[in-house]
Amino acid sequence: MARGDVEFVEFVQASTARLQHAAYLLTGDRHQAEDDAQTVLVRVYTVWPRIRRQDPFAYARKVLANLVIDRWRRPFREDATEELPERPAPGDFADGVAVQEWLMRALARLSPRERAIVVLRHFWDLSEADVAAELGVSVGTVKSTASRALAKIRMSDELVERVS
Amino acid sequence: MSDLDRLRDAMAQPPAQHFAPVDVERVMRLGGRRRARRRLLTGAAVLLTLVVVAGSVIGVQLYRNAQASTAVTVAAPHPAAVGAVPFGAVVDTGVVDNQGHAVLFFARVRDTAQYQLVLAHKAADGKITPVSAEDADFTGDGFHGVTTGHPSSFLPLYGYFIGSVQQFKATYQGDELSVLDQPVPELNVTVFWAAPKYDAEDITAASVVRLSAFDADGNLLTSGSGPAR
Repeated sequence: MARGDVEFVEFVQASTARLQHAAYLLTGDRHQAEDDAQTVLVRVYTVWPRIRRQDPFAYARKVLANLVIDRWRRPFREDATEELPERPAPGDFADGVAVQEWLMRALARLSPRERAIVVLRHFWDLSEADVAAELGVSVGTVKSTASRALAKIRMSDELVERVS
Repeated sequence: MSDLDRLRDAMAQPPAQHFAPVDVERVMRLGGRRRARRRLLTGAAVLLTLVVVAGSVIGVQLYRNAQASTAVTVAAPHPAAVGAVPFGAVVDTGVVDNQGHAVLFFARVRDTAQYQLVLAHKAADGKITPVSAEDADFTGDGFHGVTTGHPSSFLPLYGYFIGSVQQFKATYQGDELSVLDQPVPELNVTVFWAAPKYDAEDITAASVVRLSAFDADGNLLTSGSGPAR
């Protein structure tokens, strides 16, 4: 195996868990997250000779965010399947699981771009300028979109509390 | 805990889901194919660009070659009067034979307002010996006084051009001749001559050569391109 390939395998081992986690936050679907993480890694390997001496993790992050946003820009397509999606077992509300459920519900209320900005900003901990650079939008757009996204999450929580 | 802290905290927690491990070999196989395809496309794009550029260059060249040139019948040289005095620059053609350097210059015909284009030999001591002379006519644009220097010199062809010319082209029996030129600002004309060449050795009076003149933009000069000797 070539030296570059050895380095790529090390990169995959080091980054896969975090990429899959981010993909899950972006998509809310485990299978989709696994597929997206793999697609990102394929694209990273395609340009590996060029980026391996730069910041391959940043490249992967950017590809993932744009992959999710681009998919939502395409016309809606639904693939029929005989398998029902997995559902959490009723009554299983241990703290961690409850928090995760709250998180996925909160993220599900956001548009793909809002979701990508929230994940890049608060999961990857990027600055507003870095988020703007990765998504190819202005810093102002990042600020306003992030603010709108947080307001949506907050409002929904209040609504849930009032109803319950 | 603020809403933002709550959100960050929730995101930082490991997901409840367990993800399938990534098949690295499959990733590398797919990525390798994708890379090869991209390289192929990049190579094809570069090749296509080169082909387009080369095609354009060749096309321009072919277009220029296809532009109409003027067929000119070469005049026989007339013996020059001894003692012709150069008017303006004496143009050294760089063609040397036993008699010396072949030079071209205009000379005023004694007691008239007429000029002649004179082919002469310039010896090493600077002495100029006229060989032949053609009456010069400055009344129209284009090629004038197209004459052969054979057999008294190695100069196959010479003449002058009136007009804003940048480059000449000459062909004789399908062979391209190398044409040199030098302006004569005193008379606002450009003297040109063909360099000696094996294929041009048999140019004599009555030979037909094709001449073209181009301006600085490479456009063919057409006005008055007929010979007016």
